Parts: sequence; C-alpha cells; structure tokens
Amino acid sequence: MKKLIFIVALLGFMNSVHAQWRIGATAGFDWNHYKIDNHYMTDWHYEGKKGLTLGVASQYGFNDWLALRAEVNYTQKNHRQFRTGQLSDTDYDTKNSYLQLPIMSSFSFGGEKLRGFMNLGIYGGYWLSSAIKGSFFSPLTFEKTNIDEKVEFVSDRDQRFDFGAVGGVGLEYKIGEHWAAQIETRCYYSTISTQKDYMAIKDPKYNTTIGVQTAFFYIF
Amino acid sequence: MKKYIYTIFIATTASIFSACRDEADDVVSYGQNDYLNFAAAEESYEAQFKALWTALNCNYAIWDYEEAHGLDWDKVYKKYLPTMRDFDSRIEKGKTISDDEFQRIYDGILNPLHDGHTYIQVKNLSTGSYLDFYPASERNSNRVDYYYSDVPRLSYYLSANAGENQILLYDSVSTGPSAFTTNEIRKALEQIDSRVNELESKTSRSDLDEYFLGKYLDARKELNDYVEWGSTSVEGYNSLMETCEKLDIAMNEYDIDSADEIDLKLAVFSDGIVYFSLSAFDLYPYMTGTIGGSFCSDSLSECVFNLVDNWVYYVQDLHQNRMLKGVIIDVRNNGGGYSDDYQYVLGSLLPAGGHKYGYHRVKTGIGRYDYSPLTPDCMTTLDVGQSAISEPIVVLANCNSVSMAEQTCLGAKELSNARVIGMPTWGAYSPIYDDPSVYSFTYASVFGVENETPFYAYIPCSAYFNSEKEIREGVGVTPDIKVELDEDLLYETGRDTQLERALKYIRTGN
Repeated sequence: MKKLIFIVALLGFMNSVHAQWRIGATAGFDWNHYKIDNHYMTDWHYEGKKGLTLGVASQYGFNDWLALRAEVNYTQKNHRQFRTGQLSDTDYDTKNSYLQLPIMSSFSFGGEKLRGFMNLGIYGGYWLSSAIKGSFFSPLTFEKTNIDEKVEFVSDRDQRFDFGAVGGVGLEYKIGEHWAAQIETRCYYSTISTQKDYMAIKDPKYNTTIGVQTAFFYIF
Repeated sequence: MKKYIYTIFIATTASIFSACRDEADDVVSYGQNDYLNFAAAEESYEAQFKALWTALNCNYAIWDYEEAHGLDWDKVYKKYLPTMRDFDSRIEKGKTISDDEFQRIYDGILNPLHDGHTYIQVKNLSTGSYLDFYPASERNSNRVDYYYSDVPRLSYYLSANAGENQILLYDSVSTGPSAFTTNEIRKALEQIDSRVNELESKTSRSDLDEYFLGKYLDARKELNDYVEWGSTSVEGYNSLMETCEKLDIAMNEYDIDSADEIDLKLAVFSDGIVYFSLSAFDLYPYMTGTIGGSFCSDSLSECVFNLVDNWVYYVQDLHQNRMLKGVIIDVRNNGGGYSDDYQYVLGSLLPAGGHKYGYHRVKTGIGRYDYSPLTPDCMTTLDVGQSAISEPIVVLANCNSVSMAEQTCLGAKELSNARVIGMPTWGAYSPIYDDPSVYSFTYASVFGVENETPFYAYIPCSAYFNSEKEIREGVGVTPDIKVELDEDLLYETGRDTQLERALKYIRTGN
C-alpha cells in the first residue's frame, strides 16, 4: 500500500511539472591526471595526457530546473610516463579506453534560450583496453626501442571496473522547440584504484579526468 | 531554496568522495644499501621478515613467472608472519632460535623461487649466524651431473693413443689460486734448485746449512705437490706464498679474487677442429687491460690475451685456408661472468654488429607486476674484420654451465650451423648488476651487504626472455644432443665422452 502511494505521488509530481525527455550525442576532449606514488623511483615521472570522449545521452526533466541524466560514453584516460637523467629516452604514452555510464542529477538555471546547468552524480565504468606508444631506452643494452603495442591485462593486478563521482558545469542554448546544444566542462573522479589491492603493500593508482564536451539533444 | 539544495548536495558529495581514495604505503629502497633502512630489520624476526619480503616483492624481476608456477608471494607473507612473531615471543622468554630451525623455515620461504642466480643470505638474529639460501642449487641437486666433474681435461688427447682425436697444438693459461702459471712455478723451482745445488755441493755443511737444505727440499716438494694435485684453495696458495716468503724465494703475490680466476684451454685437433674452453666469462678485464689493481702479473694477463688472440687467429686462419673442420666451445663447469665476454667466445665466430636474439624487461614500479615492455637483447660480437664461421660449431655444456655459459648455448641455438651437446644447463639467464650505484637503472638486483646487513640478496636486475618470448629460469637449455659424461672412463683413461661426441658430430653431421 505504501509503495502504491509513493508511486502515485511520484507520477503526480512528474505530471504536475513540465516533464521532458531528450536524447542526444556527446563528443569532446579530455585530459587525464594519473595519481600514482613513484616511491623511491624518483626519476620516473607521470604526466596527464589528452584523450577523446564520445557518447550518447538521455535526460528526463522533472521540471524546468531539475532533471536526471544518464549517458553511455567512450572515454580515454591517458597518461605519459618518462624517465629523466641518463635514461631520458624512455618516454611513452599509455592510452586507456573506458566505457562509462554516468548517472547525474542536472540542475539548470537561467533564461528560456540560454541556460546554465550543473550536473552531479556517480558513474560506473569498464576498462576496455590499454596500449603504449613511444620509446623505451634499455638500461642494459643502452639502446632505444620504439614501442607501439597493446598492453595485456594482468587479472591479478588490473582493476577493470571503475567507479566514482562525476560533475560538470556548462551552458545550453536552445534551438527552436526541439533542439538544444550544450558545452560542458566535466570531471570524472575515480574512487577505485586502477590497480587491485593484490599485495600486502598498498600501492593504489587513480584517474581523475577533466573534459570539455559538446552535446546536441533532441527534445521530445 | 534551489541554491541551498545545490550547496548542500555539492558539499556532501565532495566530502564523501574525497575520502574514498587510499594512500600508498611508504616503501623504502633497499637497493642503495641505506643502512638506516636495514636497521629496523635487526630489531626482531618479524621486522626482518617484513623487510626481506618487501625488498624481494619490489626488486625481484619475475613474479609473473613465479605466479604461473604456483607461488603466491602474499600467501607466503600471511603464512610465515605468525612464525616470525612466534620466534620473537620465544626470544622474549629467553629462548634461542637454532640455526637449523631458522634454516628450515627460510628454506620454505625462499626455495620456491625459480631464478637460477638467486642467492639470499639471512642472519639468524638469535645466534648471529648468517645462513645461505640458494634455491637453484636445491632444485638442481638431484641432477645426475650436479657435482662438478673434472672436465675439461685434455691430457689423453695430447698423446698419439688418441688416434684421430689427437691434439696437434695445445695451450693453456690459469690465473688465481687454482694454479700459478707454469712460468711462476718454474721460476720458484729454479731458485730452490739453485740453492739446493749450492748447499749440496759443499764438501762440509754446517748445522745451519743442513737446516736450510731441509727447508728448501720441503719447499720443493710442496711446490711439486701443488702442481701435481692442482690445488684450487686459497689456503693452499697462501701456504705456498708463506713458504716462499720465509725462504726469500721471489714469487709474484696475487690479491686473489676468486671471481676473476679463469682457466683457458686452446687446442687444435689433427683434422682441423679448433677447441676452446674457459672456466668463467672473466676475460673482459684481461682483454681490455682494465684489471683493477692489477692483481696478477703483467705477464699473466698477457698470457690470457695471447691465448684468446690465438683462438680467434686459428679459427679465422684455418677458415680462410679451408682447413677448418669445425669449432668446439666448451662451457662445462663455467659459472658465467661478464656479458661483454660473448664477443671473445661465440661472438668471435659471427659478423660484427652484435648478435641479436632474445629480449629483456626491467621493473618500472614497486609492484610485483610492474614491468617495462620487452626490448630486444643484443650480445656483443668482435669487430676485427672476422669472417662468419660457416663450419659446424658445437657448444659443450652441462649442469654447471651457468648464466653467460647458458647465453652462449642460447646464442648457438640461434645459428643453423651450431649445436649444443652435453647435458641440460643450470637455468640462470637473467643478468645481474652487482653495484648499488647503478641500482636505479633497473630498480631491481642486488640489495644488502653480505655478512653485514640482516639480509642480503643476489638477484637479477631484469628478466630475460628467449627468442620465443618465454622466461625459462630454473629450466636450463636443453642440449640438441644429450650425452652423459662417463666419469669412470674419464678417471681411468682420461677419455671425455662428451667431447668425443662433439668431435663425432662435427666429423659426421650426426
């Protein structure tokens, strides 16, 4: 009985406001920061790298300021690793591809045509693949080798599932009655280490990915 | 109202998620032999075990290979930590942990490691004894040729009795306590003989003359016994030096580092097969004149250089004159050494430019599976205008062919005209840097100081992969033709069944 009352109230709430569905596509660039502790290996360094993000999005607006948004996107979380000093010819990029499912509440404000919005929520993801490209300088043969290869996952070590917080701010411009274009700065803050806790020594590694993406929606 | 909702929502979300990331443990480096890092390991068995476990966890280069062979290093930690705590509580009660018990426990921890070079020393904190652990030795001890045989020994082949296996040209050089050069012994004996003759020629001798005559005769016997029995002990060498010094017999004094001891043999058989054996890959310092402190005489290092030079010369000259039947490289009982020595051995039979085969990888992080991409390996070859040898090449090997001796076998396996004959080798391929100053090149390899720090490990600086991209640590090179040494025949007649099989292969192709 209580469940039925709740559902009826929810439907009533939804019908009492300007509820709207919209679907769209997203595309943009991101920059990933790879948080890693290099311990005593002080000549090894890690830097963020650019990547791509592409996806599809759907959004259900409860009213003119609150909506629920869900996406499925392909996002790259790349980084560069290199050595300094005598072995500085070791310098290669790691490209990591993820499939992500962010679910966010979307708060919007502003006028009819131009509105600001803020998305906040959580996401789940799956690490699809990893590859490295660059050069490696061998400290044994003192020769540089070009590398461009896929990285095989190690099931004991690699955490393929990702999870964390996601948030973004942006602007939307409404085009006619049924179309909207958005530009958004978004951040994915992973709370799951890319490395499993497989050793007695804790050595977690995290991705934080900031992107700028555009979206085009069709509003029903 | 909306603003409050936004603010509360953002603040709550941020505070929840910012607390969700773990921090990494502080991990110290044991590779640069920072004594402070080892100090904690002296305090208790638990601290010692944790430090050694961590040091191996971070520095050992083939954990994926070990995992594939069923070794879970974290399970080892969980299994043995209570034992170490039990040791500590027993110590607190005034009891002692015996060396036998300590050895048994650490055998269980370390013997499963497959790397063929790995040697670990752990101090029993209770007794102060330093105990040794050599997993590969334990694993290989049941091999039929585990114990050193007396090869190579070529005296039989120097005589006409050897028939078609007779050697026409022979040269040898030994350094270190295993033998003085022939010249050094001869010089000492000449001095003794001169003094003995002088005393014996006196028509009447005083008591002091008799006293010294006896001393000189004893010294002559001691030198002759040393030559006949081929002593390899530092004690034997020191005793001889002391005897000669007391009698003022001039001998070059050697600061012996047994790692630099080397025995070389060069022979040319009657049908044009050239044979070269070396007891260790320690040629590089002699060939480049970089022997630190010159622990041996200039004439001795010149002997080594000349013999190696002659080996290259005879192979090339006979090849040019189409008189080379084949080549035998004997690395039996060879414990390895400098990788640069490759150029003087198999690399002298190949063109300049390096012999490219195999791969290696190094550590890129402290994690057990933090490895670099595989990069190609390359062994050095000579660059003196030598021709590549197309005649049959045989590498003779046995259980005690280790490290660079095995690399020579692997290199031979890459050549269509080469074969490995003998018994499977030791199983130690990955290289080692025994120098803390280059630890940061690979972030793996040796840590601790032997007989000083509470533990010491001699482990590789990288992982070696063969041409098929496999790790084969602990397995050894399988010979193309397996031949056991008939030790009874060797000791009774001097005939070497493995050498004769190599000669047969070169002559017949089978």
